[in-house]
Amino acid sequence: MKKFLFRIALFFVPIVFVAYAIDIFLSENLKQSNSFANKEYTIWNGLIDGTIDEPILIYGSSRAWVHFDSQMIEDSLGLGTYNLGIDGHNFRMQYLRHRLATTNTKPKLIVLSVDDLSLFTRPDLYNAEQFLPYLLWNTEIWSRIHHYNGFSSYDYLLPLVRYYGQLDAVKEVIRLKRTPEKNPVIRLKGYQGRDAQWLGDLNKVKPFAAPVGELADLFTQFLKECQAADIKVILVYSPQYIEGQYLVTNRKEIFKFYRDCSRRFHIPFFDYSNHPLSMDRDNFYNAMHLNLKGSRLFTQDLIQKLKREPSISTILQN
Amino acid sequence: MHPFEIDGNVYICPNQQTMLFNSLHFAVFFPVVFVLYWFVFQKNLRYQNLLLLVSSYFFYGCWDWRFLFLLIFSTVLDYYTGIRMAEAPTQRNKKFWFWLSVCVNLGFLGVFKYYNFFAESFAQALANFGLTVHPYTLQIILPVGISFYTFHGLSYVIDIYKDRIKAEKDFVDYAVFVSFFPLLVAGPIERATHLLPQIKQRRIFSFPAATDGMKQILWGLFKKVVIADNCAHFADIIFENPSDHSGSTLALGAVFFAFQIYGDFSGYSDIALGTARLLGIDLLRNFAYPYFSRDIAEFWRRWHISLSSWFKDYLYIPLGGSKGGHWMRIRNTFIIFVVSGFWHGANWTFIIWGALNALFIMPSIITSRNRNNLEIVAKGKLLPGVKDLLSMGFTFVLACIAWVFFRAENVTIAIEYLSGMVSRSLWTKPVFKDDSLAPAILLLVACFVVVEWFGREQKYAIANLLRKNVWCRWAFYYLLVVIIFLYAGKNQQFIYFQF
Repeated sequence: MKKFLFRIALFFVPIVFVAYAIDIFLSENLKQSNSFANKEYTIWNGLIDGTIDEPILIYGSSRAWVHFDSQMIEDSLGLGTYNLGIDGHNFRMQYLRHRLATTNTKPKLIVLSVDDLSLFTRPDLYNAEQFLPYLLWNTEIWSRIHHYNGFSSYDYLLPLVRYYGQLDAVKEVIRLKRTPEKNPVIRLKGYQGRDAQWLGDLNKVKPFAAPVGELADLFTQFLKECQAADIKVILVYSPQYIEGQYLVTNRKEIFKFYRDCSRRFHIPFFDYSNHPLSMDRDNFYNAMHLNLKGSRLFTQDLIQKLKREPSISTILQN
Repeated sequence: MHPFEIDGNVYICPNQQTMLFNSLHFAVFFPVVFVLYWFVFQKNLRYQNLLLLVSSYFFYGCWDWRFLFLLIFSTVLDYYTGIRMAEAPTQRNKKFWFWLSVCVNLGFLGVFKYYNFFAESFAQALANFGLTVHPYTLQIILPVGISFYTFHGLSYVIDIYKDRIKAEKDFVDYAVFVSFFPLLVAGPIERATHLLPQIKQRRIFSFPAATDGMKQILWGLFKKVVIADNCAHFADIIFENPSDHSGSTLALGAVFFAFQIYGDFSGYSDIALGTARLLGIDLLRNFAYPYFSRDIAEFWRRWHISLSSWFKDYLYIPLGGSKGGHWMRIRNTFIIFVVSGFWHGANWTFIIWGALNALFIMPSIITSRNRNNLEIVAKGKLLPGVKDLLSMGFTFVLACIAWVFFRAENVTIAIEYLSGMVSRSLWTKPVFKDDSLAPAILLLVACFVVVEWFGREQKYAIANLLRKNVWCRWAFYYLLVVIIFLYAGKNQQFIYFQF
């Protein structure tokens, strides 16, 4: 038995030691990628390193990411703006980003892009690769993603385990090492407009319900926290193509919730559901997302609204 | 597995608590059992067996604790009827207990596995006569491993009834025989004559057996997570929409599935055998390089051996075997293949798969050549002869044709698949949706076949690989670990768990 245990130890101990070194190597290099994992590393790096300290932050899903041109807002309002939109995720992950963004500095204004799916919980961890470089022993991230079917506690606790079967991530690291110059920043201040024509096919998606789940509590808790910290919040329902607005069957219920929050916390709610931008298919590349042209038109309109909004005029004057 | 719905589509997420052999849960569970088994309870066989029983029930409960009661009930039933049969004062009484056990065991299997199939097939048959009925179907999940542990129990009561073995008096020992965790959910299907004596005997730790077990586990993992799961990726894409693919792509899809199911099931068996060997127990061999078979009869002597021999001993021979002449042999062969197909699942595809195999084996049965190839191909030689090579190729093609029925959702799709395959586009270049991974996986499959070829005279392919050079051997093991780590496919479930 002793001989067997010795051999087992001899085989596995080097693996354990090497695992940690390889984990650091992979994570440190992978997080430099501006294209892998839907280009989310740029944002996570800024949040974890504390370099995102703009006074105006934009929260939301992919709709925030491709709709709100942060540079345009910054140039027009004269205040630093960063877009923290996260593809495919609901308010739980948006709240994680908020927590990380407000660790050291607090923003003056949060523009919260809400939509039909913001409060809808899905059990799978979409684009799980975005958490690979940061997950090991990071309690803040683990606490927000352990609800999902994506990573297990072994991934959080043990080095390298989460890279198991992640061949694409390893390939990306090798690619970055070989051609570091081929790594342009794609998301500028978190925003990336998509210069595309209509690609969507509305017939492919069947109408479905997105019930307001337990995230509603987190949402109101967030609004309370912002109120207490004197951070202004504005809710924005950015344009959605009119024919796509019927895909979520309980849309009225969702909107009622947002309006109630707006009233209860005295925060503006800019609803673009019936805005002319939502009526023109030329502004979209699919039912949910504006294309580059549409996002610019929308951002211009939003800037005007922000300038006119009395509750935030003090922020802009300061 | 947890199904959920988004945008009208049903998605399935693997249950994170599931105790798969290739999961980290098992990587934690097994060392704990190992340490307790050899270090804490080493001196007391009863405690060791009790530990095996508790860990087996824990292992099974991780799948779905509700079905644990079914397993325990089935165990108690066979244990009790076994004793009653042994103590029966008359043959009639013995027969009563025997049939009670058989009927209840098959009854459970029938309800959980076959009820819906029979109800729907009956309704379909009536519909052909213009009668419309809406059969009552059950919304039930198939308990994992039910076919395997039911067959364990059945072989035990049949052996007692036939006076081949004595009834086991010790419940713990019997329960370990039925539910020993390495074989509980997907075999090998053990016999009481083989496993029970090992359970009742004091086990002594053996260094060569333990290292051998570790090697077999490593090879099994490679087969499962690298070969099977990656082949599954391509097979799934191709089988999902056969009409979208050329004949050559469909042919390759069938080959991918052939390697998927082989890697999956033989990989599982390797891990099971290796795990059991680490606990000082030898399980029956389940696979012996079936794709190096020269005819279908040989293929079936090398594929899922424990099931084939179970059917031979408990169905083929009681039906008369080959003693009743040519027609009896043909009839009995057909019966065991169709029943074997039906054992795999309640679907016409499995029945046709079984019948096709029976059909393929018929020429050798009729000409009495079914026992021509008993030894492994090209024994003692480096390469096979041309005749052997052609025979192996032909047998593999036949196996792949049958696998199409095994894999397809229904018979119509299987026929559509095969007719799409046998078209002019069979001679065009196969096209994949995910081109980037395909060459690497094909290369890995090719390497796998080469390693299996050179190891074909061993119990498993790497049993004696690079035996003389420890550095090269260890380098090979590390290479396997790296390949497993990098190329682990996404599909975690073992195919045979559904049976």
